[in-house]
Amino acid sequence: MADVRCPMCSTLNPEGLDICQFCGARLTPLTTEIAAGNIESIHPGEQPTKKSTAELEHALPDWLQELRKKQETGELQAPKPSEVPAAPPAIPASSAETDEDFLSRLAIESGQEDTTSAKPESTDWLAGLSASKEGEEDIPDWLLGVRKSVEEETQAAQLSAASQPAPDGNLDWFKRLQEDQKAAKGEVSSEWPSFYGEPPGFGKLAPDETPSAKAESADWFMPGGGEKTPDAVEPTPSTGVTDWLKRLKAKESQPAAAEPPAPTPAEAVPLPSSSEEPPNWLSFKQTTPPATEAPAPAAPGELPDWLSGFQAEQPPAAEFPAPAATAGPVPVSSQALPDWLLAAQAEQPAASDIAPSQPSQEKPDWLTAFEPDQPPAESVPAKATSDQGLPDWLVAAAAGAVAAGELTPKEEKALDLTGGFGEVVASPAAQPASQAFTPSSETFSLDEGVPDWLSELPGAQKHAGAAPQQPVAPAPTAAEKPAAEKSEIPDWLVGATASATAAKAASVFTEQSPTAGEEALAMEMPDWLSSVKPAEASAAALPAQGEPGAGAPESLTPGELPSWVQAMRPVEAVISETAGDVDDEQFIESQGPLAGFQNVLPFVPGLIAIRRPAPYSSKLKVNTGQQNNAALLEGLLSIESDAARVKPESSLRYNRFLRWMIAMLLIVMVAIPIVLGSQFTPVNPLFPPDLMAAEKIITDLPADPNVLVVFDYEPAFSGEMGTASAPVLDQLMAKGADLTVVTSLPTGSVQANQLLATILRSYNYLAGNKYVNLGYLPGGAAGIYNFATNPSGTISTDVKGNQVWSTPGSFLSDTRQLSDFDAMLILVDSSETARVWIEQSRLPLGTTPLLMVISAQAEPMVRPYYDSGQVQGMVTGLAGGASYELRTGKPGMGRNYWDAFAVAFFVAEVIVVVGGIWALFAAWQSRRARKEEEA
Amino acid sequence: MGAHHRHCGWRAIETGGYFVRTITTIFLAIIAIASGVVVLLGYFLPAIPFLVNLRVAFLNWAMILAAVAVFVGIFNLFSVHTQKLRNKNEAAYSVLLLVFLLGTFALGLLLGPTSPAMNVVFTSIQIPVETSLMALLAVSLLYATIRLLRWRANFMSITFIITALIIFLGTAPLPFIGPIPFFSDWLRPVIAQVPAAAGARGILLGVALGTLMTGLRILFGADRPYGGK
Repeated sequence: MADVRCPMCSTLNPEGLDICQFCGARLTPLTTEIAAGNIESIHPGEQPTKKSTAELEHALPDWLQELRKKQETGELQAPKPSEVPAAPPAIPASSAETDEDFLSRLAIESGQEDTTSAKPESTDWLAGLSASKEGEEDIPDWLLGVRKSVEEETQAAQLSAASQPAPDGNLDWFKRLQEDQKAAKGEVSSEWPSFYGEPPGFGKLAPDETPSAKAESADWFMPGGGEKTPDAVEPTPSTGVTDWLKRLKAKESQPAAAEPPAPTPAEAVPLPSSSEEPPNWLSFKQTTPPATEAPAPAAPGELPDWLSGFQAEQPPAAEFPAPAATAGPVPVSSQALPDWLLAAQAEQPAASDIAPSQPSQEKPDWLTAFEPDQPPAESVPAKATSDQGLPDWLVAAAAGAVAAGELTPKEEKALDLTGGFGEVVASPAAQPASQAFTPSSETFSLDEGVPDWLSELPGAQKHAGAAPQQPVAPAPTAAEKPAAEKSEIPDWLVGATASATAAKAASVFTEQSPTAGEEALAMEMPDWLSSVKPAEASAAALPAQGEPGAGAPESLTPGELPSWVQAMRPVEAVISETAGDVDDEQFIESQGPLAGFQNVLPFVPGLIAIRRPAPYSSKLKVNTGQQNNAALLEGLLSIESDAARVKPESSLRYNRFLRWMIAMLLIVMVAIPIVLGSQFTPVNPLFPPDLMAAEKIITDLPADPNVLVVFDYEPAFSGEMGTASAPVLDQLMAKGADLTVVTSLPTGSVQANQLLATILRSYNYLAGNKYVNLGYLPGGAAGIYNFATNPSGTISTDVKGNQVWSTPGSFLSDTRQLSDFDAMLILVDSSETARVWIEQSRLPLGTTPLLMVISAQAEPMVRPYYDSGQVQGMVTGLAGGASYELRTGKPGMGRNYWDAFAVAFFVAEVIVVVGGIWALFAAWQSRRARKEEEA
Repeated sequence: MGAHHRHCGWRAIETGGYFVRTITTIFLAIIAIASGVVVLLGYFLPAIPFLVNLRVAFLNWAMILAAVAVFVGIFNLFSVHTQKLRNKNEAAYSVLLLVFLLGTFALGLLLGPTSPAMNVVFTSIQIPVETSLMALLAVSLLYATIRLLRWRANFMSITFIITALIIFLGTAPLPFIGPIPFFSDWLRPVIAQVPAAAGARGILLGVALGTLMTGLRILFGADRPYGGK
């Protein structure tokens, strides 16, 4: 089941409901049927199509509906004859004789509504409406009301025509209107539909018009004025046929000589030549029923369709009313007048010029509003002040026209509220009826206030007596007028009396050029009105010609919008961008003058925010990508909370086998030479200079030298140091040196004893008196310094406790300072110890040579002291000992260990080389395997 | 009331202890700085007998204190291993250490350090033990040299290995061949006397400057290894 969405609150309602359950808005538009017809929006420049507006009566703007109500209730009354301005003098007399102004007849009918027994059937311009009476429900009420008023006016006109001679065939209703105005002081009965907008001729109204002129110039919308002229209105039979069109038809059948009526005494102003022919747009009223009396002799092409339809509706010529009797206001037309026009009319001072044929109650409001202000044409000066009731634009436009010199003083006077319809003033038919009109009024050009569509009308061109460029055509015959008029009336106006009146008013200003006033009027004028073209209208009217009853009723099809309503629809060019949305919304106006219309205004989302916000779910809407991202973030956060697994660093795998193999290889290779006692490796015969210096110093020592020997090497280095120091000590012992042993290590004294007891036991120094072991010297550098500066004071006794410094006969008895020793030999394995001894004892030694037997590892640190001269001789390691033995010529431990030493180093060299190559190859393989794994 | 008195008494003790510590720190600093200055002046002013005698006296005190420190060290070692006897897993080594410590000490006290018994102990035990450790060091260094290129085959490692190999070839003769002429008489002395000596001198200079700065800091009281910060 399809639900209906409310256009207001967007909620879904069950199908079949007319009113929204939620907001109470109407779900189905009032114009459903119309909307169902798929009425498209009108395009710029597109001609509106004919539509029936019967069902749209309630959809009419409020002001129209109100106007209609007033009409029904009688609030709108026809203007008083005194208030009706005089008929324009430009209307030719001939036309005044033949043409009956429907307005005048309407005024008469309205005024003599009670007295007229015979009701015209279809003599008025709204006859087309009467023809379709059976379908009256299709006709808007306001139009029906207008028609009713027109019928009443027609009856009144028939009554007035009975007392007046029948005009000539070319009688113009304006002419009769002027005559009526002149006779009955003119009563304005203007029928300018309010929906037409303001009359175009109002733009030319001058503020300083005379009241008479104003009254005369307003005759076009007070047809009674024209018909009030007795000599201009042909008496009509009492059959009740008061339609001026029928009278026109009757005039057409009459001889042309009879058409020009004799000017009445009131017609002081001679009729211009141009006034001889009525405007074509007005001639439609002269149309006669083609089937009965006067078939339209005019060219069919000149007859507008609306007029053709109208013509078809016209009754026979026998029913043609006498237009002369139409004097007084036309209440019907006044009912259709807008309020502004009524207000302006109220200030019309030419009330005296217009015959008060009709009571003012039948005038429209705007006419009745200014009726009291209209003084009589004779009594009111020319410069009556009627500006107060006029709109500003009207005053300005009229002033502009006066300033342009286009208007004569009388015409300026005529530029009243009704003077805007200057052509009416210039009508020769109306001129005799009003003394205010002068021939110069024919030159009264209101082109500035006339829109193009009016100026293009052929009827208006014919009335261009004020325009020199427009040739004045002869007064059309009764047969020609309908054809000409048909071509000027729009289709939709066929049968519409009010529209016909407006068309007449428009044709009056055909010669007017567009002005600022026109522009102002154009803003209020419907497009359909401005888009009416004579040619188009005539072309559309041709087919309707000869078809009675095919006029207005067929255009007012029920359920169809009229063209002017269509024109009110939004232009497609404006809403083209949002057309799709607008169509879907079904937006219906509920308030204002457009209430009930659908899609009148584009429902653009930005204009009206009635769309209810979409409901949002409280549940978070995420897509797959967002869910993946959220999962990734959650994973990252969970990883942060977990302790990172530390990759265990590959521990160095100790190849114990290799280690054992290296150890065993070294042991074996060292043990073999030692065990075998081989000496297959020659000692380097090149002695180092430090060794040679040491050997030379020792050699140069005096006999029985007093030598201070420092045993400062650890037991671990006893093998190397013993082997290195043994040849030096051996050389010293060989020279009978007195050895004083001191050490800074706890094991030093023992090391000394052990060396003397093992390697040098042959000299038997331990049991003799040539050896003093002072023992351990504590205090590090301080002790060494103290001993160096004060040996006897630092260590006064040897390890046995004997006073060696002061004991007589001791070789130390004469020794007090360090420099008292003949030489100082330091046996040290550590560079630090060597440095301390050198630094602390060098200065106390003085010139005493300092010799050192050092381990191979201490050579780099001790050699600088040798190079600096602080150390005079130095023997380094096993190699130095072996070399020293070789130098002294006494092989000893050094030579015994030399082969083992050479083999051990050779094995070590081989292991380093082979092992290094293998390690490089293994590293390359490991790196390659890692790269392969990574790849 | 009594608690209050006790609290006040503790505060007085704490205050007095802080005062004493402060005074002690200052006193120690004064002693250290004065001793250093006196010894330093004794070096630079040898013509002043008082300063020279005072310097010598201080140096003798230093030697005695160093010997006492060695004894204190031995006593500390004894106490530590005595405490380790409570741990049965490590008691054996501690017992061995303590036994030989006390035995040697006894022999030295009774027989003297130069007695044949002490020589036997030294020669039969200490020298082989330490020498064996040096032999193990040789094997370990050789093994490490091989593994070096296995685990860290970079430029420095290769340079180290090559340098060591050159020193080997220059220091020790080849079996049955003798010294390698180029390596033993030129290349090794060059390496030992130029780059090695240069490095060694740099180290020595650094040590000398460091010692000087340390002495100055102690003299100025910036460093107080005897107490305080």
